[in-house]
Amino acid sequence: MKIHPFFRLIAIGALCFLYIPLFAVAVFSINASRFGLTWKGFTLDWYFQLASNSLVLEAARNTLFLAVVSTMVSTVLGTAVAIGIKRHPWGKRWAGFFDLILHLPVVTPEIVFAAALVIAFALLRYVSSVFDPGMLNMVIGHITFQIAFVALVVGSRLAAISTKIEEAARDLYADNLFLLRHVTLPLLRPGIVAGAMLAFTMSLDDFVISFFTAGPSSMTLPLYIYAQVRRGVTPDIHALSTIVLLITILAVVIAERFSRTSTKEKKHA
Amino acid sequence: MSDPVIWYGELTTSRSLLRRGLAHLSPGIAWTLVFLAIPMLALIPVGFASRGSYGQIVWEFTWNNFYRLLGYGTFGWSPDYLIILGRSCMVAAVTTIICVLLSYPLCFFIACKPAHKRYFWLTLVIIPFWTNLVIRTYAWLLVLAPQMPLARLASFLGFIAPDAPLYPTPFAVYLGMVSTFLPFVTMPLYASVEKLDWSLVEAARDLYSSSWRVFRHAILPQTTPGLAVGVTLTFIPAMGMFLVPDFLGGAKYMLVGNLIQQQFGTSRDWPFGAAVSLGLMLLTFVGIWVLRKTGGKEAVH
Amino acid sequence: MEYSLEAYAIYKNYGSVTALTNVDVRVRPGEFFTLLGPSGCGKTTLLRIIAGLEMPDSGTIMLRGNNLTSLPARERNVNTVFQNYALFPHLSVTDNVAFGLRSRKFPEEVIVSKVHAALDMVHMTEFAARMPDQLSGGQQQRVAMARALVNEPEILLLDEPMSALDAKLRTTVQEELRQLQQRLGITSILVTHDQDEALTVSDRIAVMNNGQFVQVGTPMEIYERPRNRFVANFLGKANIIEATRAPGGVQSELGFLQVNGVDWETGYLAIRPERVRLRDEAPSVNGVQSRVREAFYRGDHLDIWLEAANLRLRTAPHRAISSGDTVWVELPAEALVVLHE
Repeated sequence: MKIHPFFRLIAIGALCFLYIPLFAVAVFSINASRFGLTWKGFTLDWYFQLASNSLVLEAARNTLFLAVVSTMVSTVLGTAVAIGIKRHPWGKRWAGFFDLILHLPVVTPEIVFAAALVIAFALLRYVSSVFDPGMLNMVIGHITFQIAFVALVVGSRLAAISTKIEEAARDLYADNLFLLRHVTLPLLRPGIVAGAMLAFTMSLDDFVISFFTAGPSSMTLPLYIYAQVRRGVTPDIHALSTIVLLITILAVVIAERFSRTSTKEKKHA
Repeated sequence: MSDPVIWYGELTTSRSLLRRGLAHLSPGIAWTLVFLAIPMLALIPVGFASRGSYGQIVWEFTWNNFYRLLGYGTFGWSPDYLIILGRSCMVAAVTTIICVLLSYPLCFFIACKPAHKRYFWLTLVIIPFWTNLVIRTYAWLLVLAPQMPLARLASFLGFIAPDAPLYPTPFAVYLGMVSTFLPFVTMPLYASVEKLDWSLVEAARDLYSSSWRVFRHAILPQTTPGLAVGVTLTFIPAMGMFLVPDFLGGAKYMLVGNLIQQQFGTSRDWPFGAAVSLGLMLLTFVGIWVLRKTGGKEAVH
Repeated sequence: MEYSLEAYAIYKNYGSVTALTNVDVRVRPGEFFTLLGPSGCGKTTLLRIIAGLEMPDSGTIMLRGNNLTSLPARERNVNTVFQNYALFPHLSVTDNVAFGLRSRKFPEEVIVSKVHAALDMVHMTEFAARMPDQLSGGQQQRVAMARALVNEPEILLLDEPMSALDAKLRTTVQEELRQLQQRLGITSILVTHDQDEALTVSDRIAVMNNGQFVQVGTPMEIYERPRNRFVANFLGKANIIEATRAPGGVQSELGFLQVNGVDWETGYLAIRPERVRLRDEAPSVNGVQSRVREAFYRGDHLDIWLEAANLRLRTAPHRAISSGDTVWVELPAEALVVLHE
């Protein structure tokens, strides 16, 4: 197969277009100049400064805490929802309703979801002051959009598992618990891992929901970078962004390797 | 025992099956209802309430927020909000179209690579997809800065004053939007392109002389599923985008997302914010409906 | 006589679709019983009802005299070899076979020895550590057998266990299956749509159609004495001759045929192609003279189509017969089967 040189040019142009800004950030993170964007020589000072910036460290801790807690809760709830929907005889109407609920976070513009959350927490504050803007609200907000994505990923995996396998387990004397523990969950594991990874990354990446639900002491890295950029871009932000970028690249490459070897194993069979 | 049934080899009753199904479902579904569905429905009554003088919600039924959105303010009619709404639709539509136009060559470029190299090129698309949006957006501030070649070229050609940055401008917003959403179209589209039946393309090439007709009759129908996913994944978030215009468009080029954010942020006018959100939802649904319509027609051909 | 399995008056509908209508089955201990029929005849539904994977709308199922109609699959001492085997893809061969013992909480040392014995029985010991997707179709089938047999079930249920194997392997596996079943003396019920398979392995066959038993009997009874046109056509090939009763036999388009036991005024006779005999000269009774329409050389036999009544016959391969020849054939009275319905 050959591709027309003109389209080839567009393709390479599109890739450059994606990477030039990221490349610029990386370059300016090792530029000695504090102000302006002229090259003043190589330095790693901005990276060392990050290590002593307590706000950044605090934000990194918050980001990680938020992602870990919300992923754990949403993975359990989302997996249960997927099993509940796919493995029980719901009528057409109910199945449609559940489908609608699950697709709601996918088809709602994030900003509307955020606005709805602001109102929800305002109403919940009548009940208890724990719903003041802050980490709890952020965790709840993140779980809310994660559940749907976990359920969709796990659900598609579940649909690929034949019910014959479960019947075979029943035929071999398995009760509900044994079936879940030794057949359904192990077979679902790739889907659950994929769903959890998706949820985790979505939480790390999230800006809008966090922006609308955060309190004064629950700054995350995206929020910190946003706040700093509003004041004017500085080299230490470039350094921080470059670190985040490198971690992203590493994670994507590892995830790709992982999924590639698992498909290879399947093909080998 | 009330109506016993067998479910995948388990003897049970409809009632206990229902009970167990609900036990699985209800925590997650209830969570989504409480924190997503009900709050979104709550936007409706809030949209019809009014703002108290301290920013609180006053529960008096009024159409004022919607009148205001349509331009009828205290000082007569002004199209400001309607312009923002129209602009959001246009930005979302144009962004989607450009992303599609760029994605097709990109997908075919990757698909034409030998199999073991495709992963590398595909990974190049996936990395920006997962890179934090705040970082990707502010990175454009660097590229568009006065000292950089793009801004120099623009000032040389007389588009901007010397030593001025290329932001905030509509151009910068489009750059930011397209670079944000390009991977959202490319990834699902690539999944379809990879599965493409090349013999059909070859057959079409024999039948038609023009490459447009080959695309129209052999490639487009086969890639419609991936295209539909990509377009939906782009159009919906693009409608509500707030970060890109916030950094790159400024007050001169506001979109609906910024307007909503303003109401819930500095203006503290939740009822109006809710009304704008409802307007955005409405526009999004209309947009999806239009896409489905045209997409459906494509599928028929 | 005590039966291993009895099922009485089984009815099953799926919405408006009838799967089973008033089915009665009795299977003797140690018997190899086969449910044979075209797809959609209800044979798999019946097997699933016996396994406890499906509920009958009404009827009773008894295992060694105990009513188990309302027992779930896990409380029936019955195990299934599924179509396409349904092996657990995440478990090794050993763990697959051990599954039934583990879910019943057998002590681990008992499990180890039983699993070893079961794998030995199907000659799969050397593959014990493999995963199912590393096995060939035939090996997977053996694992599925071992996984069922290790539980020492009262009845072994086999749901089209050989449909996924290629034709050559299938013949070998059929013979092995029959030998294994004889050796263990285990009561087995097989579901299949393959008549050769049914004839090879079974003690008795139940031919099913439209959710009902059409005929139950030994392979020879079913093949030699089909009850009606459906059975005659479904098992092997048959010539069907429309006839009316006449003294001492019937009158048909082939003329008068001598045949015993005609109990209807008009009806059908059947004769297998290999029972039709070629004659050099006119036979004394039941002779027919006809031109040969077509003759096909098949290696181990010759298929001949006559113009008279579309008659088809099968004979030894070394006869010099070609289309256009005129031949005499005999339809021996003892080979003519009087069909009912």
